Amino acid sequence: MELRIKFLPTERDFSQRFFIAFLLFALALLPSCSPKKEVKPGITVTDAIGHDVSVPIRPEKIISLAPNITEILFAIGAGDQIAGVTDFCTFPDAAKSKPKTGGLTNPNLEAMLQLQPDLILVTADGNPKAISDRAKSAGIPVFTINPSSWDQILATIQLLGKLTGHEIQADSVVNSMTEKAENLTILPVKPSIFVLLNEKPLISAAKGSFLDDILEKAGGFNVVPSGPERYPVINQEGLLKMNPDVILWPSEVDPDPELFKGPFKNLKAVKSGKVFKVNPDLYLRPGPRVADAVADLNSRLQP
Amino acid sequence: MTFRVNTLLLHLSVWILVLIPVFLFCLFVQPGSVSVQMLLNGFDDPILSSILWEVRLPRVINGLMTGGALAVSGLVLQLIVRNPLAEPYILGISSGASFGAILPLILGASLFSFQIGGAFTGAVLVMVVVYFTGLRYGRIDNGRLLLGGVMMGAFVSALIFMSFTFLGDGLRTAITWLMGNLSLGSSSVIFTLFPIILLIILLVYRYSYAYNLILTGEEVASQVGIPVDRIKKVSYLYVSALTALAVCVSGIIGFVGLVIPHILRRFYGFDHRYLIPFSFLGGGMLLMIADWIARAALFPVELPVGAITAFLGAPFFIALMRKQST
Amino acid sequence: MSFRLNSVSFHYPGLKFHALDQVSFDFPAGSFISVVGANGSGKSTLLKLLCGILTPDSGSVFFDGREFSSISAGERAKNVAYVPQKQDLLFNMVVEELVSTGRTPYLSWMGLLSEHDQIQIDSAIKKADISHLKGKPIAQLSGGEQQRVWIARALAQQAGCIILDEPTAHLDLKHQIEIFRLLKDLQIQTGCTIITACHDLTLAASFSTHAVILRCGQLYKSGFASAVLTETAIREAFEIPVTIRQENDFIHVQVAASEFRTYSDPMTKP
Repeated sequence: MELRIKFLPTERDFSQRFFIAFLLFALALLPSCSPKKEVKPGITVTDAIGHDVSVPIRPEKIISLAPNITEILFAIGAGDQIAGVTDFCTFPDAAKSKPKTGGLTNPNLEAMLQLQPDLILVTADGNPKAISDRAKSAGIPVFTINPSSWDQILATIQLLGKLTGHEIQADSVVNSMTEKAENLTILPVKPSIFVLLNEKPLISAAKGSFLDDILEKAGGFNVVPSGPERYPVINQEGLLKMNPDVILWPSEVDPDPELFKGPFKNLKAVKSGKVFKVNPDLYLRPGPRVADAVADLNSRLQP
Repeated sequence: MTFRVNTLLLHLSVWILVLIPVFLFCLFVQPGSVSVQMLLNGFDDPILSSILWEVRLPRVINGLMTGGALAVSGLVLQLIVRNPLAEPYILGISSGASFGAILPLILGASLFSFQIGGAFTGAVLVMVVVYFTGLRYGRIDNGRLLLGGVMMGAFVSALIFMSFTFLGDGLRTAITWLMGNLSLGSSSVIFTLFPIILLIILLVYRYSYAYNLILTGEEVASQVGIPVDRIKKVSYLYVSALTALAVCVSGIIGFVGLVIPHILRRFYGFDHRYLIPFSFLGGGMLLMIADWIARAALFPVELPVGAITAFLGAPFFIALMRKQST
Repeated sequence: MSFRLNSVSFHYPGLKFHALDQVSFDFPAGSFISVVGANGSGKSTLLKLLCGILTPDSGSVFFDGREFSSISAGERAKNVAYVPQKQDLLFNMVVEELVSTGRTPYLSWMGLLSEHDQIQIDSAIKKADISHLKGKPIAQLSGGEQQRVWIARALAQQAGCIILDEPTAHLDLKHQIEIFRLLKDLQIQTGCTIITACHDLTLAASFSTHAVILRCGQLYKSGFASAVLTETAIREAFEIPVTIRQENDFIHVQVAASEFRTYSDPMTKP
């Protein structure tokens, strides 16, 4: 049989065309030839974005694609059931020795699949949809969480407790968090707080995230109004006008000193020394340690 | 339009007469914030005074000088490389500056002064590489200069995108560089840069008649006494300096450098003795107005000014083109 | 303006061969010189060397006894003017604007025109007979008219010598003759030296006082036109036999009849 493909059909070409048709047919069948995963018995739960996910009854190889998820799992005692975490999952210490699967916006699918997970936990906005979809088509259940308020954080902890078989421990975590947040000294006035996420340009957290609840439970309130963007660029004049009582700077390093030399030297918070460098992992991760953030903030806000 | 000094002065006066109210408007009016009255009455209040002198004034002046610098850069560049689609970023300087600004973020040195210093270094490096790529037997070859600029720009842009992987928290800052923001420069930086930029514009103006001649043909221009190659090299230096300074302080603000020269040419023809000063003023006003919109629309939230310049400029230009063809 | 070339050689950077190889000649002031030669023989290069656009690798160019390299570009521009082949302008200048650019060697950095400059411009426009075209954008003019505008520009330069690179290459018959007549008038009336590269040997032979034949970058022959533009010289330089006959003042240079093979082509028969 000649390998040249002729355009004009002749009798001899039929065999060639059958061969090509057969090849195409075989190629079409390939995708369904992937090894079928053993489907563990599971329960169907609706996740935070409305998908019904079939979660195995007691997942043993969970991949966490966000630091707050990792913290929650360890807090409720499910640390042994974790197969992989992200590069940014630094708390608790035990998390650092878990196999890594990449970053938040670019987790490595191959690294994840190699760990043969039976459940992948992702956040709604921190992780890319593409990875969730591809993991799903590889047959792995992907469960999305999206806690955007204090209450939702507590609910998520309890939900994950249920999913991993640690309901009792989850309840006790929730109880201790609630206690920490109530065991606070009341403040005489309610200070306005500006969360500074970046110096140049000014980036803050608008109203509408769980940060608001941290601020309010600690006795203050977020001075930045809600808007289309969760972490908007703020006009310098806006900060001057809002003139907050307190500025929070969640970061491990000090803010750029140049920031407070210019027009901001006249801010109330700067003049009264109420610019607080705080632990970003406590304040910016919607996980069990937000209660610690509340307590920390409350003590700083004391007159 | 034939050139007469009187016409130049007349038009200059008109432009400045229009500039003054626009400048004052952008300076004093900020919806959502303190009212004009409060500002005018509150010179004693340190906060109000801060707002006026340390936040608004540098910002509006930055708009004028950056918009003007970009417009003149675009104008001269389009002439040097004989390509009406050229704009200040086509030579890759903006990518170089952006990467230079982002690199300190990756290395963990996020101080803003490092970003400016990095931006300037990045711009200069790209400038030097592109310059030597564009030389052919000691003279500037337009085609090679353009190609070199585009390639360097693409290369450095690729570096920028790769660096996103390593940025983590610095991502927002990096993206803001790429979208442009007029409030990044402190008042001392802006007030120092403004006379420098004006000086460079004046130096560029010295070549305005020579530019007219270069338009009639490089060979005929050189025959009639114009040192074409030297002028191209020095102009490249001026354009790169203007662009580098603009990007270092305000990030990437596109569109002004491309479109303002075209709009001005529709009104004034090709005489650079008119085009240079009025491009400066036109570009400056466009950017001041765009920045006003960027900060007025959703105060205190800011929109990216580079997007606003495109929203304003593109339809205006299209309308102008259509009017011309009827 | 008298011209002298002393063993001038030039090669374009990057190309190994010499575009011009040790060319020498000299011509008196007020002559009309045609530079002829096959394509690629170095005509354009020679002209550009004569007006200062290019600098020779070796040898020197003198005009009126002064060496080119010893005077400034501006001084050169006041003595020699260049008219390019068809020029695609990047934009649409008005006639007077283009002519006024000829005054550049006399102007300050800002290009402001004095009364004297304006007088020269108007006189140049008149001499080139384009007064009726004032105010029109260049792109709207015909090829012949555009060429006259460029010549007016060269006149505004007040140069003693005008160098033209194939001024009639893109023109129809009528305009070709018009341009040459204009140049000849200039030469005779003002004593301006005209040096023009020319493809049309008839025009060259009819209008020139002197001629130069270039072949492969080398000087083949130079001197009085009648002595240079002979049947033998042309046949050797162009490798095509010609016949030359004179009719009154007009000299016809024609391709020899033997070059046209007789075909029995049925298409030519009515």
